[in-house]
Amino acid sequence: MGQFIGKRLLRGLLTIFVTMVVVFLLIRMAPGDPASILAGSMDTDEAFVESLREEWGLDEPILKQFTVYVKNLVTGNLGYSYQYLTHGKPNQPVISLILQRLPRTFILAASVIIFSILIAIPLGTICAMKPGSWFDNLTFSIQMTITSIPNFYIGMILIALLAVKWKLLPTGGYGDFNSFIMPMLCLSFRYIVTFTRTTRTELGQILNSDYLRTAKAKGLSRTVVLFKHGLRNVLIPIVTMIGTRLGGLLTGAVYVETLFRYYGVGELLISAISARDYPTIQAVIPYIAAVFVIVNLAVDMSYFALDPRIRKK
Amino acid sequence: MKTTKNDRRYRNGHLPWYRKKGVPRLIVGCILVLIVVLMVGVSLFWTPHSPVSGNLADRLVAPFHTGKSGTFYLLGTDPLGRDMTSRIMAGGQVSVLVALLTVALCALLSTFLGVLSGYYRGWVDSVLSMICEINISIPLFLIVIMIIAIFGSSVFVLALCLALNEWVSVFRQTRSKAIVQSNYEYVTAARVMGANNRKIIIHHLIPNIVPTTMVFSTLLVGSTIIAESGLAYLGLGVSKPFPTWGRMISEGQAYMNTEWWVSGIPAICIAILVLGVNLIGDGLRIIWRME
Repeated sequence: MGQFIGKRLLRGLLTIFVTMVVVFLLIRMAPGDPASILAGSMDTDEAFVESLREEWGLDEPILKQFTVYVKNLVTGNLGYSYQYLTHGKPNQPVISLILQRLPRTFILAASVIIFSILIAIPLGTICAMKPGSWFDNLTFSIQMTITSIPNFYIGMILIALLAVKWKLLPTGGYGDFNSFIMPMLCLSFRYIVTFTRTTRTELGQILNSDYLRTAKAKGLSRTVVLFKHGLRNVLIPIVTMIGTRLGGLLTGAVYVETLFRYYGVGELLISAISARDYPTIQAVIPYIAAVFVIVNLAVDMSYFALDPRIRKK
Repeated sequence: MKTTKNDRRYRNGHLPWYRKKGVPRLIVGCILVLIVVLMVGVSLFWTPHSPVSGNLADRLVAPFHTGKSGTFYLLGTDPLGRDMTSRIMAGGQVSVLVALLTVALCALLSTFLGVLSGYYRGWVDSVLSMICEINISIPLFLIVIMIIAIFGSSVFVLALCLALNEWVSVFRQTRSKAIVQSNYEYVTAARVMGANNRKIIIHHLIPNIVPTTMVFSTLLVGSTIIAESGLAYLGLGVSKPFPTWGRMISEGQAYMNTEWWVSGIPAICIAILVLGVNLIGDGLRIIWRME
């Protein structure tokens, strides 16, 4: 187990490293002087660009620059964000922005996953127990429809109906629980579909397997057969799903946070990009990659808890 | 008795094509896609009105209504009085082009690399698999956004970025298919008869891998169209010469409750196209019996 985790950790570090290299090179490949790009849309005077050049060591050789970049990332000395100005001077340290925004997106993502699983497993179970029934077909049609509509349009419909027409929920924002419901609901649709489909196919195969027939033949009750022999085995593919769908979840969060003005890390990134706020961009992406690595590691470790066969190896 | 159902002769693979299980899906999908593609194709030569300039007197005319100037609008007009029908027709050009280009890139890349990786194995396979792993575990979409923000978005940049984001899912399938195929006796037989690696790959492996590539690339078209519309919604899409459907949806956001058609019709178009493509992919998958 230790070896397994060590291997995964090493690969995770490699992933973060590659992300940093890509982001680092992309900024330097951009047309124009890196310093004026880093300074972004600000009305830059020459002195400011010069101070930036010094801060990021842009006249140094490229390897030295990279070590400075890595060092800055590790120590959290990420400079200032150029989209929040007071008296024309940047005053928001990027690190405090990230620390403020990252947990919000994390909470959103975690609740989306929990909510979708709570809805999807019962749905998928009913479909798997009666394949070809009207319920199964209806669920399939709804799935096909939802996957064909862009997520942000579903969000717009939610706002139009729930917030504007029926005035049940606020149109967006961050703060209370009410403004949290719609972003979560909007983002959940796709994951409910994915997890329902997984539950249906996996459970469908398990229900036809030999060991399940044995369990039934032994005289175990239907509930024990379904929960202990059936659904327990569905958990592993679903947990795997969480790992592989993390990227999509974050992509979805970018749209949903922009649409509902839920100020998470996705919204930060989009506003940073439209403001050409490069110090924020080149810091946020590696940090998100790090969170990715940690969650994927957690997914890998959860196999040990879920699957006795892996534990024995 | 269930024997008839499991009888070899009655399995999906041995039925005549018109009785196979996936065919209805394939046909419905083809019809939906054909409608959209025809509509977009016609817009290259002709649109009912101008897609870029409108008549301000006819602002926000509802679908199937006549504006104040006496012109009939099939799908209504937008807040600037531009004809929605023409805009929808022209707006599809970029969406369809980007989707086709992306998927073509993905298909080429993943067939080529999949065969290399599955046939030669060894260090080629290790390196490509590692690239795959990293590709999945990096928040690649964020890097795509960054590339578009830095280099601007032309159709080609967009297609390249989306392909970069999605080729791995096809590559994994072609690779495993190539591994299975290169272990078959016919490959050994070909080698015994003196065929070299290049000949085996071109004449034996690739023809057997094309169905896999087709199914999984078709299934990608839908997500590509959705991703493109999403980027357009965020303001990172192509906006010249015509606005894409995603951009049109975001333009109609302010009119959701009163004039639904401004954003609703582009959304319906996206949904029809994506649904059609997904049905085709699903149908092919069932007919060729791939999981």
